[in-house]
Amino acid sequence: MATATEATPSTQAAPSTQGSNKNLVEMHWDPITRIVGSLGIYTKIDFGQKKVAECHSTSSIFRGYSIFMKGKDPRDAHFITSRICGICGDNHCTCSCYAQQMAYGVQPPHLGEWMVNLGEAAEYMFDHNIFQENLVGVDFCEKMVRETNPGVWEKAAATEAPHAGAHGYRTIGDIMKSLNPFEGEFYREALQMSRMTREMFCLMEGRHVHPSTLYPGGVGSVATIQLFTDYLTRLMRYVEFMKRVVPMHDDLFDFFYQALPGYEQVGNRRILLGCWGSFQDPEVCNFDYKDMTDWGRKMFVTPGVVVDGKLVTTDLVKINLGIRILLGSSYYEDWKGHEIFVKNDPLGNPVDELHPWNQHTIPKPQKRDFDGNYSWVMSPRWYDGKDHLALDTGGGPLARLWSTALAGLVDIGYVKATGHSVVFNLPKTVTKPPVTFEWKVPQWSNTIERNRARTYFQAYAACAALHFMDQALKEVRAGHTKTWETFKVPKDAIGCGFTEAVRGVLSHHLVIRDGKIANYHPYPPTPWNANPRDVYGTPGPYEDAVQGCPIFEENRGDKFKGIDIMRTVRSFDPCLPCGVHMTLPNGRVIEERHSPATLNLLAPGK
Amino acid sequence: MAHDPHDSVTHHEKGGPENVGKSTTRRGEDVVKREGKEPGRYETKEKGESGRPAGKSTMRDQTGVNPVKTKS
Repeated sequence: MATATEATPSTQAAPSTQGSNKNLVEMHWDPITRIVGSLGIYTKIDFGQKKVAECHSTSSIFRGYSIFMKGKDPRDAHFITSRICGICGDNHCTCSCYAQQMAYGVQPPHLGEWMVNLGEAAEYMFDHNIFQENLVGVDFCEKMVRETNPGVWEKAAATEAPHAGAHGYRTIGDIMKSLNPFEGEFYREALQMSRMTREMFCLMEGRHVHPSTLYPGGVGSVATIQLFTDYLTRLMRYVEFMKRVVPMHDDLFDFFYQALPGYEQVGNRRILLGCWGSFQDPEVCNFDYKDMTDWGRKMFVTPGVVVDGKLVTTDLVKINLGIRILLGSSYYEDWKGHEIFVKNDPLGNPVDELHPWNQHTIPKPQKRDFDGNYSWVMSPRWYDGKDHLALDTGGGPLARLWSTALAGLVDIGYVKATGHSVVFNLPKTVTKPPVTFEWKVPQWSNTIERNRARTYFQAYAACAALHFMDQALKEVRAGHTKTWETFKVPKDAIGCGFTEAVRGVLSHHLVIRDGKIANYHPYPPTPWNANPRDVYGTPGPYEDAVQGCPIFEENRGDKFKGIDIMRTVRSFDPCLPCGVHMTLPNGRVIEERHSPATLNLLAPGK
Repeated sequence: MAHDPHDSVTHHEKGGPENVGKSTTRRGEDVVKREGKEPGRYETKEKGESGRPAGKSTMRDQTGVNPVKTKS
C-alpha cells in the first residue's frame, strides 16, 4: 500500500526535520515485505530538494517463535524454525541443525555435510534468481523505466550494451524489455531456472523450503551416483545461464550510473556490513564452540564485519559475543533484571545480558507512535567495544562478497578470494567456453551495488556447488556412503549456529535445560536490516539508506511511484508490496490494488 | 526447567506456551537404539582434522533382499 498525504505548509508532519519547507510530502508504503507482508516504510519527501527527508521502518506483525519454542523437545527446533520463512526456511533449518550439533556434540559425516552445502547452494541459486530477475528486475524493466523516467528510457533504447556478445541483447533498452513481467524473454527464462534450482534443492534435502531429510547429525537422503548426476546436469545449465546473466546485469547497472549522474547516492549508507559465513568445511569443522574461530574461518563464505570498508574481524567467537539486541522503538518490555541463561561462553568469556542467549521476549502491544515505539522488530546491533553498530547485510551478497574478498581465505579453484576481489572460474558448458568473472570491492554500499552483488553471488553459489559436487562424488566413489550420525540430547547444554540466510546473516542461539529448550532465539537478516531507531537514536539500515536518498523519478503528485525508494528497500531483498493504496493530498483514495506490483504494470492504460 | 517468576511469558498453567505440543515424531537415533543399524552398513575410521564419523556400506545396503542369503 502506498499512501501519500501532503504535509501542510506549517510542516506539522515533520517539524523536527524540515522547519519551514513547504514541499514536504508524506509517502507511505505498507506493507512492503516478505514477512507476511508486514513491513512498512513511512517517509517524508522534500520534492523541492528532490530527496527523502525522513524515514521510519515499521513491522506490524508479532510472531513469537522465541516464546513458543520454550519447553519443546530441542530435536524439533529445526522443523519448527524452518516455518519462520516460506522462502528460506531451509536456511533456518540448517542453522538450527548447526546449533543443535554444537549442543549435542555430534558432527555429520563428510558426505552429509557436502550434501547440506549442495542443498544450501541450490537455495542461494534459486532464491537470488527469482528475486533478482522476477522481482527486482521489474524495477528496472522497460515498463517501469518508461513510467518513472521517460528520459532514461529514451537513452537506454539508444545505448549499445557493452557485453551484447555475451548475453545477446543489443541495447540496454533490449535488456529492459526482456525484464518486463510475464512477457519479457529473460523474465520467463528466469522462472524456468527457479524451478530447476528448486529441483536441485529437493534432490539433496527432500523438500523445498522445509527440508524433510535434514536433521542434526546429517541428512537422510540416500547418496547415490544417480542423485549427484541429477543435480550436476541441472547445475551445469545454471552455470551456462550465469555466463549471460552476470555481464547482462553489469551492463544494466552501469548504465544507471551513466544515465543518471549521482545515482550512486540512491540507497547509499556508511559501509557497515555483517556476514556470518556460509558452507562448512567438514575437514576442519567439528561444531565445538572452543574451535569456532578456526573452523569459522574455513567456511567457504568467510564470516566478517566490515566497517568503513575495512574488515575488522573474521572471528565467529568475537562476532557472537558482540551481538546485542537493543530496544528503543520496539513493542517489548526491557528484560533487565530477568534471568541470565548464559553468563559465560564455553571459552569463559562473559556473555552480555542483551545477547540472544540471554534475551527474554516480553511483548507489549501498543499503538504505533513514530515519536515513541513503532515496530515489532527489535534493534540488533554489533558492539565493537565502543559503539553499537547498525550493521546491515547488503541484501546478503554484498556483505558476503565484501567479507570474503577482503579476508582472502577462500581458494577452491572455482572461487578465489584475492584480498580485494573475488574471482569466479566457470568451466566449459554445452555452448560456451570457460569464463572468468571478477567481483571487485565497490566504492559504495548502495542500491545498485547490493543488486549487482546478488548477481555475482549467484555465480559464487554455482561455483561453490561445483566444488561440493567434486568432494561429494569423491566420498561416494570411495564407498563412504554414511550421511548421518546418531546422537544423544544432553540434559543441559548450549549451542549456537551461524550461517547466511539468502538475504543475510542468520544466527540461532539455543539453551537446553532438563533436556528441553529453555531459551531459543533465531536472528534472521530482516531484523538486522528493517529495525527501528534503537535506544541511542540510531536508525536501522532501511531507515538510514532511505533517509537522504535523492529522488530521480520524473513523476510528481498522483503519479509519483517512489521508484528510487522502492529500489533501495528492495535492494536489501525484502518482498513486493501486495496491495497499494494511494491518496491525494486531501485524503481522497484514488487507487486501491490488491495484486503484486508486477501485475499493476500490466494494467490497461499503463 | 527452572521457572522464572519475572518472565511474563513463561508460565506452566494449562494453555501456556511452555511444553505445548510435545513431539511424538519417530526419531532415527531412537530407532537405532531399539532396532540396531540398518543391514549392510558399517563404521570406519574417523575422518579429517575434525574427526568426523565415517562409514561404508555393502551390497546388502542397496536392496531389501539379502544378496548373501539368495546366492545359489
